Amino acid sequence: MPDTKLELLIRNHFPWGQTGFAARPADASPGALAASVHDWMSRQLADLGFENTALALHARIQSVIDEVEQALPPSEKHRLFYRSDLGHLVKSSESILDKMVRDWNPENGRPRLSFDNFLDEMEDLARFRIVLNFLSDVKAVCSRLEEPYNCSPEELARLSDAQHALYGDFALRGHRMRDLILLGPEKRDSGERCFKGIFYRRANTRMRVEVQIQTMFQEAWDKKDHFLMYEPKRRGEAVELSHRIEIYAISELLYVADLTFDRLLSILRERRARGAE
Amino acid sequence: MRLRNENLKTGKALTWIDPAGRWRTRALLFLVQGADDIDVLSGIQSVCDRHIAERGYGGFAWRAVADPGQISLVDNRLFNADLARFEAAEFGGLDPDSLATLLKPVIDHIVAGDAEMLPRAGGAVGSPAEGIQFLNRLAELDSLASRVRAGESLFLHAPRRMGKTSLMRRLQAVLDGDHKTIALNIERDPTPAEVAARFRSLAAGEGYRTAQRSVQSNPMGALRESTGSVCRNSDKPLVLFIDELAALFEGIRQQNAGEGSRRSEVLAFLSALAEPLAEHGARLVIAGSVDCLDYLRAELGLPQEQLPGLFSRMQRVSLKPLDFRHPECELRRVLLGSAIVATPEDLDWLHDHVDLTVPFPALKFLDLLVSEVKRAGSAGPAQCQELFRDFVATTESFDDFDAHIRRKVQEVRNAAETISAALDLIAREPFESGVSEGQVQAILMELGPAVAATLQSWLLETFPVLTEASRVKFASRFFRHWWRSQMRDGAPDGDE
Repeated sequence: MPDTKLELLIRNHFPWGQTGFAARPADASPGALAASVHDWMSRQLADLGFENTALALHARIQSVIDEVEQALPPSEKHRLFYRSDLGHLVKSSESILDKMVRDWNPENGRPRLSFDNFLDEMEDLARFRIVLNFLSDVKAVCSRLEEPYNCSPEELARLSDAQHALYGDFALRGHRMRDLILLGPEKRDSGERCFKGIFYRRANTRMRVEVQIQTMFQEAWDKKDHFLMYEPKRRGEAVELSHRIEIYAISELLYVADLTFDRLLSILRERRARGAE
Repeated sequence: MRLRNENLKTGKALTWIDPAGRWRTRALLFLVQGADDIDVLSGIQSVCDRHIAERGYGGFAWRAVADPGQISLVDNRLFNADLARFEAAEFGGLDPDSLATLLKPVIDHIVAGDAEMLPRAGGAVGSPAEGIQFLNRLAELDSLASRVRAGESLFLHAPRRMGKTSLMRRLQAVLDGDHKTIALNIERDPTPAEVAARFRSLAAGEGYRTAQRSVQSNPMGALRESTGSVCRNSDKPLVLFIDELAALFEGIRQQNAGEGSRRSEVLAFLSALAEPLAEHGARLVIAGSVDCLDYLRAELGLPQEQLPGLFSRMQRVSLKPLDFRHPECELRRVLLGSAIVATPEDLDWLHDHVDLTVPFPALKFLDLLVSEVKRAGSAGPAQCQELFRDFVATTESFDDFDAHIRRKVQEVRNAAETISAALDLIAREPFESGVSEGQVQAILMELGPAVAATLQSWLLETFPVLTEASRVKFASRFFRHWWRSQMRDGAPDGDE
């Protein structure tokens, strides 16, 4: 049976025995080599502190979100506002290897993404997701998170303590969260909808964390897409075009649902505000 | 110093789910606030992982937590009540060795299924320290247990509040499996008749009040008979634990007018207790802040060799002040157990003023400090200093040391002035360096060479004082501060 791309990558392109890398195991079977590489990658991520960096960023972001929640009208204090998904703070070694081999042609020599550069090249080695109830919640939180990074120096003084603390510990790439919600159809190649930001630790810019902020519908769509489309594709299974079209369409439908709920929320708020007057 | 911020939500939990499947779960949640906690958390994780691997413990896993209130979402076997919360910042500035000293016992307690994992400031105030509150006498405990198993009877002597009752209780717990152990509470049964009734109750299965009536006519005979009977009925060797036996001798003094009759009643009591114990291979462990052997000799003219049975062979063990390899860590353990977060400045102040060498007063002061932090929300070194000054000026926690000096005066005339002068001399010198042994000896020599030698040993046994490389120094900073406050002439205490 011919070697798989992954086996070739591990056998021929892992810098066995070089400084900072694992020694080639005595048992040179593909399974033993792969186990050794997985172990080395996991240790790299743990030793460098990706997971703990993500936790520290989450703590800072959580304080900002709490401020937004505190500012909700009193009648909304009890409603579900957000939850965090810290279930996969650090990318698994399987996913990293998968990304290395995905666009690699073994005949072209060394892969673009490899063992000596993945820690610097990959931006989502550490990541977490904040899932909010309404689309307007997502926008409010993102705007509040971006504020310290895109305000003028004289405006810095009016930032909250939580915003200052976030800004002091972490920088935001491009000073903006990338908006993958309000993306024109011509620019969209997937149904994925969220705000995405790459934060990095000021004291160690190698430590980057991807933060995704989205609505509960957007997250629900993503979970299903991951299982029904992404994973089969990763395994090399066939994915029917009609399924892809349906899944994409559902993302659009859920976006409309988010818009509708937001409109209803806005009407409710106006009615309550008038009642209060 | 401030209270732990348990409102923080994000953290990393070291969870433990009993691998034996007994539905026991625990979790240490290290809460983080920002980037300063990243390296601290990595340090904590590394120390815990190493200890877990070294011990081969199963069931541990690290989990990211976004909201402790929803810990069941992380694992549905975990509950909020299982979480012991800490701020990662509480472990800041500690090297791996100190981190290990703090965290390894906590992990061991989790695996042992102990309810408490860290001592609390208020935990041992007002009662003998038990469980987690029992501080750092494990080596002594092992040694005492070996000696009792080898057949020795022991008298544990130390000033009050040094932890001897706690040590005795732990010793009883350690020996309980392979011995029958009985603890006699002289505060509860302060007369020979009451002790006899207690043994009668144990031997005959009578209710205590019935036993009291049964022993009324001949308490000593009943004590002898019942003690023998308890020993005979046990398939394991008996170890009898008695706390503060001298209180019983004092009780006899109050009942008897004549010195002669008091002496013979004490002797009769000791014989009735000790002879059946010796006959059945039992052992005695007595603890006391008053040296009952000294007391019998000084007050009743009964030297140890003339005492009956086990009392004549009893080995005196002087309990030294607690010796901490990592004194700062012990303090930190108490702060962690008391949910108090200290700044580096606070820790410096604590290091200079408080230690757990003489645990009771220190824990009492820390309890006061914790109350103040809870009341005011925080306390800095200035507030600590103020509280401390009032505490050392008014505390009764060290009164036993005064009582020891007064008792010594009955034996050695003018001893009080000489002892005080020696302690004053040590207290005046810096804590770390102390004073040369020769200077202390020169003061004690005022009472003559023979007395000086015994007084120096007595000083080292009775007070938290130690000799190191021919220098005599205090073992406890706290005691030194207290002694210096006793020396004050109205001027403010000038600490170096």
